[in-house]
Amino acid sequence: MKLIIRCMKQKDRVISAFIVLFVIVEVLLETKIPVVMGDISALLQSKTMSFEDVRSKGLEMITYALFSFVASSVVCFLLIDLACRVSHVLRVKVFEKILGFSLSEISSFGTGTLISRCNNDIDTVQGFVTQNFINIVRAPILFIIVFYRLSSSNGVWIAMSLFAVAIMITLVFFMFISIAPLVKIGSIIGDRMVSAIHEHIYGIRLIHLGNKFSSQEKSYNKINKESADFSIKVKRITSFFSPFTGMIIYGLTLAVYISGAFIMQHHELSDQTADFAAMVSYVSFITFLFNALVNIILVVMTIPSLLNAQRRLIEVLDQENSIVDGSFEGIPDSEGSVEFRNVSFTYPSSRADAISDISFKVKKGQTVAIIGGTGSGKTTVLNLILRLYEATKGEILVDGIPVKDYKLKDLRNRIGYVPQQNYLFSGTIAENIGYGENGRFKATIEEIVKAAQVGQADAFIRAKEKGYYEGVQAGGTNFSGGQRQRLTISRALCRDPEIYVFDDSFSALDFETDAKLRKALKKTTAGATVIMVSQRIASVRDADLILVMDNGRIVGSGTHEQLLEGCSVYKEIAISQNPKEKAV
Amino acid sequence: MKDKAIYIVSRMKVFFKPYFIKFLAVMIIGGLGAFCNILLPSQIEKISGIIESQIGHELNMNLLLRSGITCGFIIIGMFICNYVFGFGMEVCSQRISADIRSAINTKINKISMKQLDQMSAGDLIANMTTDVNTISIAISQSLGLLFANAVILIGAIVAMLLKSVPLAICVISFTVLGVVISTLVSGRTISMRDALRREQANINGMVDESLNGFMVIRAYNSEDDIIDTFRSTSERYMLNLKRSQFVTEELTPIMTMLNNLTYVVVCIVGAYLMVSGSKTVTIGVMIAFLLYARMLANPLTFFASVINMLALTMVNCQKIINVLDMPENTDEGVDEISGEPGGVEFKDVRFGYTDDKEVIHGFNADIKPGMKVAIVGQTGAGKTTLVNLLMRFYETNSGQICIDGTNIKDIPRERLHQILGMVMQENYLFNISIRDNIKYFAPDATEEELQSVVEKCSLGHFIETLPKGIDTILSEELAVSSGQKQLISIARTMIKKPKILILDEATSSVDTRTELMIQKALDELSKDRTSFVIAHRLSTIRNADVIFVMQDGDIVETGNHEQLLAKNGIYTRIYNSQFETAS
Repeated sequence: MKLIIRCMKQKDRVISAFIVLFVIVEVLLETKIPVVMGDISALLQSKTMSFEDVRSKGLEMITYALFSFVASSVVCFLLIDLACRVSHVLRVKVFEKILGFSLSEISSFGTGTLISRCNNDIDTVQGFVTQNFINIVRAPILFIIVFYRLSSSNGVWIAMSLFAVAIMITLVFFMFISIAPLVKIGSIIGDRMVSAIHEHIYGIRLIHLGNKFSSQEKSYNKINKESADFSIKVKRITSFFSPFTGMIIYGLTLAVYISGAFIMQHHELSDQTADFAAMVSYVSFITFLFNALVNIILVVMTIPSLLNAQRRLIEVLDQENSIVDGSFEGIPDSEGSVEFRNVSFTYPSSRADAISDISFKVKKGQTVAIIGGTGSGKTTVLNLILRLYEATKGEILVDGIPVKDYKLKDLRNRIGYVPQQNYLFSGTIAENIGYGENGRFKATIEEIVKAAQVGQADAFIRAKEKGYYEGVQAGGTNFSGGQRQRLTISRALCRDPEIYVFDDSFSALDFETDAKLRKALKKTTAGATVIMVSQRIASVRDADLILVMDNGRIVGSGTHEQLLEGCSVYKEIAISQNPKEKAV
Repeated sequence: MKDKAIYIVSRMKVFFKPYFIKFLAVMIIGGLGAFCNILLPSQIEKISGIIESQIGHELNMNLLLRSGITCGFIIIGMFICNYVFGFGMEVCSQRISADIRSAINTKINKISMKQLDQMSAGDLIANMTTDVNTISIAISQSLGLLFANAVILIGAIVAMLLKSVPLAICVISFTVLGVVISTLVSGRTISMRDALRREQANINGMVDESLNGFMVIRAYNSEDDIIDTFRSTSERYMLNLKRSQFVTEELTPIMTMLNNLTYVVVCIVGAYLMVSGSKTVTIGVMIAFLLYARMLANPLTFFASVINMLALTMVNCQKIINVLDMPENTDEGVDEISGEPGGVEFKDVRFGYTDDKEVIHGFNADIKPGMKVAIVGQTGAGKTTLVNLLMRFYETNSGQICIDGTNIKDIPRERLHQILGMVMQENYLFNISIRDNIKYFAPDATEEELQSVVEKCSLGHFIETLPKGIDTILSEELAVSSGQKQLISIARTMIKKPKILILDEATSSVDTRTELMIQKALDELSKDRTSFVIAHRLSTIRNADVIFVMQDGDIVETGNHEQLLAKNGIYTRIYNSQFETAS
């Protein structure tokens, strides 16, 4: 509940109070109806009822029914309005919070769970407020009011009712205890079913090649049967609930009648009429009582998932941001220089350094290439420049100012980044190329086209039906890998930054396109600083400075020729990529 | 429409047959429980009458107790029947759906690969899970309850009419009114639900996209824009949600009011009739009518919606029938393939993915045993088509592919797959032990053979680092790198000792050392074997006996390296571009 309250403004709290008020009114009115029924039966008993009475009692009951309806409609409207408003606030809050995270927070949570929390958990909270909240308020009130009205009845009936309620609760309790451990098993079995189907479909060629049809069918049928058996096992328990409720309600009714008959015997004649009327009225209340009880039980069943959803959302909202703006506001001296001073970095979840003691300096206009095998730390270096992660040791300076001192937006305005995964956003091609803000200008279509021309994307864009206004699916899935890469490169070019950062950005291109692109790029980025990461010697050989990384350290730095001579790791890579290199 | 339904039922009948008697028995028990339910209001009325007539007289204990005990038995009987019904229905529906799933699973093993490749994995998975679940629910809740609800509906109406026609008409009309209203309301919500689903997909899609593209958003400073867009998308979603939820939730107060009004009407009309001197209506009768009214709503709602529910289920059944009817692989071959060689001959092979578009136009080649064939071409040129044809995963339109003179269509599939070995770029390993993965194609391989391939594939060190060594079960948590997965696949194929090898050399995003290990293993694997290699290394291409150059799905040039260079065509262009630099 705390989370929901956190998202409520003053006016929402007032509305909540009104909701509770209207619920009380609704319940009071509705529970008057059986009372009137009792009056009617008393009148009928005593044979003193007239048509006039029929009309007035009838009107009384109809009034209660109608006004009770009005009250519950008001509650319904107010509640849904409130629930939607509150969950909207919550949703935007959570989303905003997540967008403010650094990669540390994102990776420590995990992208999957953050998406799930922002979508499913908020829906859970919203659904709970809309559907179950009303019962949390209504059912206890109903319970209390009904018992209050019945408190004047005889003790035997009250005792029996309490006993019946106790039995219900006991049954539910036992059901709950039996089912609770099964829930976990259920989701494991569910997962296994899905992964069995998955394995089947993705490994179908192997199954053919190994002729494993019958063993696959056998193992699938085993899981299949397990799943069916499990559902049946659960149902064995849950099937009790509804029939048992029916039995208790009818049983209690019967008990009230029988016991009532005995009690009546010992009363005076005059009282007996009243007794009978009370009995009739009481029996109607039993229905109310058990409806309320069932509703409370159903709600209580949903509370664990609500609490779980709440906990997950609070974890996100209360997470502290590890990377925040610095306070530097002025204009730095040099433009486009990057320096690493003894920088080390450890990923939050691991024990070993991803990179250790990295030092290098890049001047404006220079091209620095980083090469090395997978896991050597190249991408980490780039992420630190952008301050997507924070270095654990050492200092990184951009334009002479430590990256920690910049306002994050100012730092990133200086950089044009092409990450390893070529992610495009849903929208048009033009929107994707002219993406984001660089603090100076919003790209015009001319600038977008120019960037695409350099990025070797113009040709295939024009070949599309709508050209630059062709739609892009989320992630860019309607483009090939090579096309996506060229678009993300164009996106960085359009930004016109002083520093370009390319993370293995040419890997999806065939040799021809790669060569053309690098030629065009060299011309356009002539004045800018370029930091690039690659696995291909052919891409790095012309850089002003090449850094060779292995296991998180720089094991060689220099030009292509210098490294071929002096760095064994570089030589190894070169030879494996082109046997001719041996000759140098 | 009706014929279609009859057809679907006749197809699905086969799944029902084994459980027919059980299902029938459970249905009857359910009906019995419903019947007990019908009897109860009369019993209560009787008891109420006995008590009422006691006022001012001596209590007839025997009569009362007898009625009470009868009533008690009926209540317990109802409980037992309803429980057995609920549980029994679940057993039937679960077993039937398990059978359907099993049938689909078996079918998947038989469906032709061409068909399977065109189907989305997601659809198939949905078939086996969601679609079958819907059918399961339909069985236990729609079909199962048909009889019981009919008993209640007819029984209650008959009982009410027998007791008092005016009261019966009141109760029935109010209940019908309630059902009509709720049906109309649910009709309205369906169109709202589509709009809602769209908005929900929008907002979920935005969250998804923003998190997947997180790095780009932060690096390009587009946070503010996105939050603004998100805010308005969320507002739109909330508006739709509000509308649709209000309609759904408002139904409850409306139905409650109608229930209350029914209650009121029974009281008033009953009272009126009593005051008018009716002999048939007593307080007990009124109480009975209140009980009937309460039990009438559910069956009526059920029958109002059951046709819809069954129609929806029919749709799912049709989807499943579609899968079960898919074309299967043919396996008419009976010839044996003997001896060592491993020569492959392509005789005027024609192939197209669709009937109207041919991509391979009469291809010929004669590969002698032990030859190395390199396949080159740009991404998407159709290199895997050749693989699929060799494996007989796809069938040629015309022409023959022969191994040692025998048409592959004449060899039993099982035998063909025994002599072929494949290592592709996407290496699928199963969630079983490494040992079992490697021995997947050769379960009878000896320990020595196993150790030998482990060594040749440089897997020794990796296996040593695992908790249970070679018996460790592969799972996602182990985080086996793609390079190691490829080495395991190579070992798996190596131990099979296939006559003919098909492999893809692509090893992107693997570090140099692992790449060297993989290349060493591949070289070992293709030693002395006829191999078809989708080549990425210059050395492979240059040393190949024959090179197939592919473009747009067709094989456009063949020859060895020198011959092709001399042609100065497509091959030459591809070869030269490997060496262009930015200078």
